[in-house]
Amino acid sequence: MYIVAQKIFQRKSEIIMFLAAIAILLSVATVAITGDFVFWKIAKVFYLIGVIFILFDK
Amino acid sequence: MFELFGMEFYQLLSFGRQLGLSVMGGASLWAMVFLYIAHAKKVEDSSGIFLTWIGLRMRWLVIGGGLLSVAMWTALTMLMPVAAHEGVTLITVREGVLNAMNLMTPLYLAIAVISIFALVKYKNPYVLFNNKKGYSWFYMVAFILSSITVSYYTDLRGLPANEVIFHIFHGFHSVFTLGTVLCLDFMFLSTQKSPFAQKHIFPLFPQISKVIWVGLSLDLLSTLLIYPEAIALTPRFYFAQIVVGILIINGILLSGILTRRILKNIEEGHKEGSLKWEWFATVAGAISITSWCAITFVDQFHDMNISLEIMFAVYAAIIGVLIIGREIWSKLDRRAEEMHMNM
Repeated sequence: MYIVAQKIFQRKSEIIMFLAAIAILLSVATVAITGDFVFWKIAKVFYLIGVIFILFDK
Repeated sequence: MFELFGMEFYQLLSFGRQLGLSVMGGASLWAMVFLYIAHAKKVEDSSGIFLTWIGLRMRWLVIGGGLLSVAMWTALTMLMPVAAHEGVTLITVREGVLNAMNLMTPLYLAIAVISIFALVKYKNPYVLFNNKKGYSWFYMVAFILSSITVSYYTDLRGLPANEVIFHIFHGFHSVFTLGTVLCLDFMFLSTQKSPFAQKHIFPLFPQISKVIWVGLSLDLLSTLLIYPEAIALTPRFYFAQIVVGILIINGILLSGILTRRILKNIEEGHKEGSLKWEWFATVAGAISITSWCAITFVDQFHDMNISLEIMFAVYAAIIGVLIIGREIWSKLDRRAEEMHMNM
């Protein structure tokens, strides 16, 4: 699993963005179950951090 | 007036207006960039020829988007829209939207004029840009007009600062996201039969993708500005949020491993195995376009009452149709191949 992931994602920014996407999907589930938006907001901020990493990619 | 599943006809027109302006803005932005890069290249560098070719070919997206938006705006001035993205809705009053449409009248007329001008001059596209200085007055004007009109979809006068920023970001981000994604796909399809053109154009894709990520950031930032009063936990909200998650994963694969593999294959001279990666890129492209269109579409219909299951069934069906459509296009469009053969 780790080796496959290493082959697919070769940059830090790609890993961060992938995790951000998973976080967004999980946060939507959290909103649906609990109605709480805290995790949803954290996931969005996580995405914005990923974008900063992507912008600095060469 | 027509109404189906809580969706009204004017909202459909509003979607068409936003789609047209996004395509116009995105295409004019990238055509402008390509023509500038082409101009900056040395005469003996053949990549300049391909960049100029794709830059000029993009005028069809600008013309199509411009005329679509003007047609929708003309119809909309008799009806009325209210919209937001990502399933997050900040309801704007009907009068506000009417005022915005009236204020933007000169700009829509200007869009109509330059689109028709470019259409009339379709046999001589070189009048659209300054060959000596490397900039295009046509694309520059098209970009400014589309950016303002797509951002000003409701009257912003007298609104609190956070709402003003929300509306501007919310409208404008479509140029960076939906418009740019459609341009990428247009470039991908236009060069599918021309490996030499691909070799010069594909390396730009990761840089172009950065703009799409920034566009999505603008939307996310704008959402956080008006949270929590604009959030309604409807199927629309869940659909849009899940599609955003899908979009990010798809975007990472498309701008990452798929672009790397395709570039490697182009350098190695299109081996048999490369077809597999190109097919994956086709699927990822179809997911990307459908996702952006779907998000923009559902956001126009704030009273939509379709279940989440049906939304995803339609979403999957459209992706399937697009993949088949691309296959047909790639068999029919031989112009890029002919250009390659003539080199």
